[in-house]
Formats: sequence, C-alpha cells, structure tokens
Amino acid sequence: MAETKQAIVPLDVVPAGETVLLQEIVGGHGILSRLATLGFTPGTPLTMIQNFGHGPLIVQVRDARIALGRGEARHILVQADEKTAARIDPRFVQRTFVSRRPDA
Amino acid sequence: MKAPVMSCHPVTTTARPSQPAELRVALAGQPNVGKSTLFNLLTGLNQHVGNWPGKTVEKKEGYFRYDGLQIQLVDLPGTYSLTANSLEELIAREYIIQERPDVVVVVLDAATLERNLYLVAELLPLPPRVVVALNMIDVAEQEGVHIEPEVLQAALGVPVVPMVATKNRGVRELVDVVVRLARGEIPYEPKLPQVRADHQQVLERVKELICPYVPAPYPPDWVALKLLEGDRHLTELMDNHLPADIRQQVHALLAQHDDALMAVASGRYEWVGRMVRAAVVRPQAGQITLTSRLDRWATHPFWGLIVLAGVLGVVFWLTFTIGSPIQEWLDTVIINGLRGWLSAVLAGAPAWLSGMIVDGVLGGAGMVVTFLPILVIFFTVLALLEDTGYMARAAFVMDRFMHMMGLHGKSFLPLLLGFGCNVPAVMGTRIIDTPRSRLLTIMLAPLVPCAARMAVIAFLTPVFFGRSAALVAWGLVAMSLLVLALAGLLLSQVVMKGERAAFIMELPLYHRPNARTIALQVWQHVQEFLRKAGTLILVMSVVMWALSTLPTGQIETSYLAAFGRWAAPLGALLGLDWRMLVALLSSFVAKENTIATMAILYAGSDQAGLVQRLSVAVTPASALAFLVVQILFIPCVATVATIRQETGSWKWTIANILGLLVISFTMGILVYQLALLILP
Repeated sequence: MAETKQAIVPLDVVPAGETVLLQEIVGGHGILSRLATLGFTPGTPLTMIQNFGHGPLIVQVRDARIALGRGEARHILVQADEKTAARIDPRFVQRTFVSRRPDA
Repeated sequence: MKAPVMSCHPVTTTARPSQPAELRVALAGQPNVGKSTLFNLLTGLNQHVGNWPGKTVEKKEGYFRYDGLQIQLVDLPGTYSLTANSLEELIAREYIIQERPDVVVVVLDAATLERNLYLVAELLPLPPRVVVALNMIDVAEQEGVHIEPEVLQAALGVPVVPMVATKNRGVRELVDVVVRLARGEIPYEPKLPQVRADHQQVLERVKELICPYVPAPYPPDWVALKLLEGDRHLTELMDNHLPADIRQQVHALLAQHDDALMAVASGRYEWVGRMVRAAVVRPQAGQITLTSRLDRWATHPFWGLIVLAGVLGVVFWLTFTIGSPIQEWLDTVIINGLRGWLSAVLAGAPAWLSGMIVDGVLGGAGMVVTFLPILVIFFTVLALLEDTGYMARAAFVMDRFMHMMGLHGKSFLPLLLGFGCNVPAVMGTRIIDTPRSRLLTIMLAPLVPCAARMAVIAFLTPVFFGRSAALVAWGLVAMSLLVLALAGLLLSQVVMKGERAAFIMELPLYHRPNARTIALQVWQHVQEFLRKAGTLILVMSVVMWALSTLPTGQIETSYLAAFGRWAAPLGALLGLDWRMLVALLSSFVAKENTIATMAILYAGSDQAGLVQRLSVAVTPASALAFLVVQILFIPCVATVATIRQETGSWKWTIANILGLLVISFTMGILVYQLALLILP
C-alpha cells in the first residue's frame, strides 16, 4: 500500500469511530451558514458516531452531536489521515477528487 | 450604592403589572438549554403567551419583582446564532436591536459550552449588556466536563452565573447580577471576537463605505460584519439605503470575498476556543457517557424503530386506558347531566331557544370539554419526549421515511398523534422548526384517520360488508395513508415548492425532565386551545345546529337537507343520495355525528332499524364510495379551528377544507365508478 496518503473524501463515506478534519463545505449559502453556525468550520475535527452506509448519520462536532442527512454530509469534504483512508472504499476516494470544485 | 444582600429580596411574582416595567430583560439561548425552565421559574403563572407581531412564532413574556423593581422578561425564540437563517433568528435579533432590552441573559448549556458560546459571540457586539447564565452545570459534571465560572467571566469580560435551573440553584444570584449590571454596579468590558486575520481589511473597508448610511438603531460595525457573512435580510436593508455607487462598490468587495462567511464563523469559533481552553477542564476524553449508551439503541436504524414503536405503544395505551374513560365520563355524566338539567330549566322557554342552548351551545361546549383529557395526555407526552431529548431521536429514525413525502423527520410524531385525534396533531406541529415543513404537516394532518372517523368506519363496514368488514376497513385506512403520501409529495413538489429543509439537527444530551416546565407547557397549550379554538368550535357548532334544525325544527326539512338535495346531482356521481350527503355534512361538527344523522334520516332515529334499512337501501358500490369520502372528508370544526389557530391564516385553512373536499369527492367518484365495474 504505497499510495495511502492523506485523502480528501466526502463526510458520508467516513466509517463510524473515525475522526477527520473538515476541509471545506461545497454548497449554497444557506447550508454553509447553518453548518458554520453549528461549528462546522475549516480545520475542525469531526468524529463519526454513527454511519450505517444508508440513512442519516451522526457526527460529533466540537462538543455537540449533530444528525445530518446523507445529502447534507456529501457537501462536506474532509481530510482523512492514512489510517482512516485505508478503511474507506477506494472508489469513493477517487471519485471525490474528480468531483471537487475546480476553483477550490 | 452598595450591593443589596440577596436573601432580603426574594423573587416574587406579581398578579398583574401594576406599573410599567422598570427593567426589561430578554432571555436568549440555543434550543434545549433550559431557557423555558428558567423563564417559568421566574415568572410562574404570571406570563402571557402570544405570537410575535405578524408571525406564527410563539412569544412569551412575563413579569416578576425583585428588589423593588418591576421586571419584564421576554423569552426570545431559541436560536443557534443570529444569522437570519430562520424566522426565529430574525425575530430574536430584531427584538434586541429595535427594542433594546436593558439586559440580555443568554442561557448556556454547560455540557455543550463550545457550541453555545457561539451565540454569545454573536450577542456581544450588539448594544444591550449581556449576562451569561451557565445552566446545567450538574449535567456537565456528569458528562465529565468541569467549568470554572470565574475564569470564564474574566475571559469574557461579562458576568457569568453558574446555575441549575431545574433545581432552582443559582437563579436568585442570576437575577441579582442582572439588576446590579443594569444599575451599573458591575464592570462590563466584553472582549469581542475578531474576524479571521485574512478578512480584517475587507471588513474595515466595508465598514467605512457603509457607515454614514446605516439606519438607526443598527450598529454599523455589526451591519458590516453581517454583510460580510452574506446575511440576506441586512443586504436587502442596506441595498435600500446605500447610494447606487457605494452599493456597487460594496457588492464588488463582497463578491471578491464570497468565502468571508467561513472567515467570520471561524473567527468566532477561534474566540470561543480561547474561552473554552481557559475555563474548561475536560479530564476524561473518550469516556462512554449515558447519552452514547442510550443512543446505541435509540438511533439504530432497526432497534431505533423498535424503541419508537414501544414508546408510541405506551402513548396510545395511556390515551385509551386513561383518556377515553375520562372522556366518556365527562360526556355521559357531566354534559348529559347538564343537558337534562338545562332542558328542565328551559322547559317553559320557546323551543328554538332551548334547542339552541341545549343542542347548539352545550353540544359545542361539550365537545370542547371532552377533548381536554386526550389533549392533556398528548401534550404531556409531547413535552416529556421533547424535554428528555428523545424527540430528536424519534425524528432521526423516521427521517428516511418522511423524506419520501417531502417532510422532515420531526413531522412524524404529530402525524402519528392524528390517529388519536387531529387536534393535537395540528398543535403538535410546533416541534417542527422550519415554517414550510410545519405548514405542510398541518395541511396533511387531517388525512390521518382519527379515532372518531375510525368509530364510524367500525360501525358501518359490518353493516355494508358483513364478513369482509375488517378487510374493507383496513383497505380504507391504507388508502387514506396512501392519499396522504401522495398529497405530501404533490404539495411539497408543486404547491409549496422550494428546497426541502436540509436535515441538520442537534441530538441534545438526554436530560431528566422537569415536571414544572412540562406542567406549565401543558397548561399553556390547553389554555390556548380553550381560548382560541374553543370559542371558534362553539360558534361553528351553533351555526351547524341552526342549519340542521331551521326553519322547521326537523333535520329532514332543514337548510342542511335542502342543501343536500341541491347537491344531489354531484352525489349521483358517487352513488350517494341526499341523505348521505347530509350525513357527511353533519360530520363537520363531529365525525361521530355521521351515524346519528343517518339514523334520523333513514330510520327515524332508530339505530337498530338503521342497520337493516341501510343494508337494504344502499348498494355495495355506493357504500364503499360513502366510506371513502367519509374517511377523507373535510376535518371537523375542532380541527378547522385549530388549523386556523396554528397557521394564523384563513387562507390556508380554507385551502385545506377545499383541498380535502376535492380529494374526498374525486376519490369517491373513482372508487364508485370502479366498483360499479367490478362489484355485482
């Protein structure tokens, strides 16, 4: 596994129990503003509490637990370290790089 | 002036504000921080619940006395920030800016201090003085978080009072600090958060540009910051006040810095981080808390549903074992007793007068009264689930299913309550935080077949369908839920278009519920129901009584019957004769009336005879069409009155009635024509 480096992935693929760093939120002003208010700002550690691969998920952000729809979680791009990235399905890791906003 | 000794000045509530308030205090805080508990503790029953002017958001204000001062307390809506993401946030900040309370008390949940301090970061740049009420320090300690209030106070530069509102600890100290701060006896030097360094210049530039044009009483610094955040409300406001050239310059600057929102929020959270690092000791990280343990079950995609089913089972069991007998007792003993007594008293009065009072007024009042036991139970359960924090979990596990109808997870519980009665279902939508989802849920609630409608179905299906009754009844319920889902889809996609509220919801820590908070909330809801919906129900039932008896005193020859005969051609499309149409119309007063009216029209009020006559007089196709219309028909007066009360709009109320009229008759015609083809 030579190329397991830091990976940028959407939050919804992060397995439960892993902690990642928020990179950026891709989306309209409304969702950006609501998430920022709740503590989702760049560089913030997010710990996945519950993620069954379908349905809404639960994230620990700062000292609160926030439930997010899967669609909302897909707007949040996060940095996963080597160990976490290894637990993520490689297909997601690649797909994210393609779908990232070019101007970001 | 010396600080008063606290124990000499007990906090007392006064019967009525005898003099204008000498001190105006606003209560701010995020949702689930115990704000209502504090409000109730301070004002007791001396509070008034209304709506914010022109809005459907609840406004609570109350009065209490302290140290010889008459203090007005306004409970602002619970908000995470002051960013105008929601109506509540806009209301809260407009109140603070326009009305300028003397002191704003911001209530924080000590266990989620970091997120809670964000609101403080938003409040400090506004003109009123702020006192921080650090609530639920006991829960925080349980969760392994230790906070040093004095250190936090020094770091913030504003007074911090630790308290446990549910145990009435620290509340008097809080009031004392509020009064002393208002009198200028306590230093007030708030340390304000800064924008992240890379955006400080652009903020200065915006400030310079707009400063001369910011309308009073808005603070220019704050407006500049909000423009940088992309705040829609203030952008619009400034667009109307800035000269064209300045407006262009400002917009150009903002366009260059469209990431400023994150810079502002990050700046606030950096400030919050400094406060938390100074004042919070968090020794055990990764310790498994009560909340984590409970949530392993409560939010699990499978077990969560089982837990929810169990909770709901208990709710309905309570309703039917406690509520229904009380309801029946009230109806038979109290209402019928009164009816007998009044008939005797009014024996000498003209028939129309005794009829109006005994059947019209008492009938309506009786209905209002018999609603109460069920309402009290439902409101208690709702408040209990909300107060413990379970409500958010129920919404979480149901979100996937509600999603399909364009609804929010929180819409599930109110709709489910509708199976008992549509009235608490409509009132229960208050737990939904976005106005659009709430309105949508209210509009759909009458499509849930309530207990009274089910009683009619239970009585009539055996009459018409004998052995297949259970199957037909089940089919009718399934059909109405299918119609509900389709109506939800249609309404959310076409009529109330707009983005579905994003599913972003806090899962608060589980708390022990507070009896006083729950009791007061139930009391307020019941009171409001009696005052608003109650009077409307009374008026409507008198009107319906008049229509069904005037001019001859007999329903067969009443205005209602005349209307039924007039509408007969429409009825023919569904195979319904005028008597069935009249029975449907009379169900407007109360769904159970359907059977009584049919009995009078078909069998001269002989219920036993009714069964025989109906099974002879009505074909299976007509019967099916009738039941379909009956279960989907317009809601009863009580529900209509409640819809009016909760939406604050006759337009939506009437739209709801018309919509259901169209839906029920369309489905009726469809079923009738299909049944004619299939049934013999």
